[in-house]
Amino acid sequence: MTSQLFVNILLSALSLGVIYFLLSSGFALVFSLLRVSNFSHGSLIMWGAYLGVYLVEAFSNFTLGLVVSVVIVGFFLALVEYFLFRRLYGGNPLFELLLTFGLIFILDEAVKLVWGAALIPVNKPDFLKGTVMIYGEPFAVLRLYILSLGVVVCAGLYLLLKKTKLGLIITAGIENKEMVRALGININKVFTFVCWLGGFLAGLGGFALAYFTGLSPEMGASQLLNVLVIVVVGGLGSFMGAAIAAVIMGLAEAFIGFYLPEMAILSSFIVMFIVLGIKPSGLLGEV
Amino acid sequence: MNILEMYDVHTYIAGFHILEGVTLTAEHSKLTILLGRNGSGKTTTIKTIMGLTPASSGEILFQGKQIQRMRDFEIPWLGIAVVPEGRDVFSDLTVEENLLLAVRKGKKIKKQRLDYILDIFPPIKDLFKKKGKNLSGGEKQMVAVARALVNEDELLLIDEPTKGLAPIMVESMRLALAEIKKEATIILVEQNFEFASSIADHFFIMEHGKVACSGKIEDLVHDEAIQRRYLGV
Repeated sequence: MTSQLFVNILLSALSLGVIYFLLSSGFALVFSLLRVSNFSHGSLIMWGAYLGVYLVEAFSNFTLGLVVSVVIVGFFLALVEYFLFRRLYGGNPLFELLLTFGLIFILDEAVKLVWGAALIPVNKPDFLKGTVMIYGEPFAVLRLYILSLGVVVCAGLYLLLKKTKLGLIITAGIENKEMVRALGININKVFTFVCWLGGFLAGLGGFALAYFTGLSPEMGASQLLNVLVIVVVGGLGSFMGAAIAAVIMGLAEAFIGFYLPEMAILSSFIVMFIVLGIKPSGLLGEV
Repeated sequence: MNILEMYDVHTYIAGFHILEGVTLTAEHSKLTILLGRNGSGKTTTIKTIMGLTPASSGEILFQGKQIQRMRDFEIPWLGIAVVPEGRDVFSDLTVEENLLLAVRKGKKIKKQRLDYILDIFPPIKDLFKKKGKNLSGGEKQMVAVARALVNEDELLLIDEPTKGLAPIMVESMRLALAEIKKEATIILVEQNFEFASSIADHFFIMEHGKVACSGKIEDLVHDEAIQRRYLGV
């Protein structure tokens, strides 16, 4: 393999990893703080994709469509937390399972009602078309865009979690909610915010994905599987673990896809098999 | 004057009747100690005052105002801080972040307050950038008490500060509490009778979720019959 080709595959792998990071980070964040497994996460990803593409066309403005759609998906999950999740904390986890599965049916059917059940191809805006030359090889502008989006989101999350009081509360709350409340902090408000952020990230991941795969009413279910694999490999409850796992998945998929194309579809399961075989609790999981 | 009063407080946890009518008072500017064997309800009393295991009946008054119906996160704002039994220093936060998280008004710990804290626990100065999970048991206990001092609260509830500490750390905790006592009212849960009797003013002995007897600490020190009966000293 030439070094140019290697760099090209590496960049593709990273942009894939970034998409996986966007897709799974919201789920991981919500799970690590609220201990709710939000199985409707895949459906939120799908809503981010459909709503985003729709609003970009409606507004004829890429950035505006992007921002409005992800904010709306965030608000949806925040409302779900405020009116539904909140009644289930400390109860039987089976209820959360039922609730979030119920949400899948509602959200998925709603997509079909509004946009139909057929696949919808997505037209890239002009500035995302074409390629640039990187290290002597052509590289899709779209992938570059995704890469930079991931870097910005990652940096934003890092600053939020490490440099703000809200971030301290989230980190502390993941470990011990009772002590956080004993310090006079209303952690319920933080739960609502984290759900907003989780929905926001799901929407963003879905939006980015739409420009690769187009829109299909099945994308929610298939992405949920990806997300669950990544979160388990990263270690349940570990946000950082999920981020690292997402990048590893991207690398594995791109490189396995290059050498053993027929195995590409299994790449995430191969990674899961190896990681859980060595460390059953996942990369950074403690349980 | 009493800063805190509890009248016939009952608390259930997961269906178990833990506090079966606790009545006690804590006098302003004094150190009141809760004694009693394991499982007698001392820690639950502290948690019930903080609203973490809410009282199902009875009254809790702080500075004459009823607080038993308030939500857990509202209670610290009245001027009550807690040092829980397990210390509960956040392990993924640095010592500095642990202290900052406790600040209720403003963004930083007031300079003067920080000096006061470092005066009581000088070693904390060198631990500022260390994460909670990398602290020793004694260091965690210092940080947990320091965190309760950040806001100049009038009432401190401190649950077993000497548990599992080496004798030299117990002694420095005793000196620290003696210093803190000059500025704040303290309710202390303690199993170590010698430690307790050396700094307390009043005592309450708990048994089976109730107060079995109470009085001035001098009286308890001289009453070996009560010590044997309730404390197994």
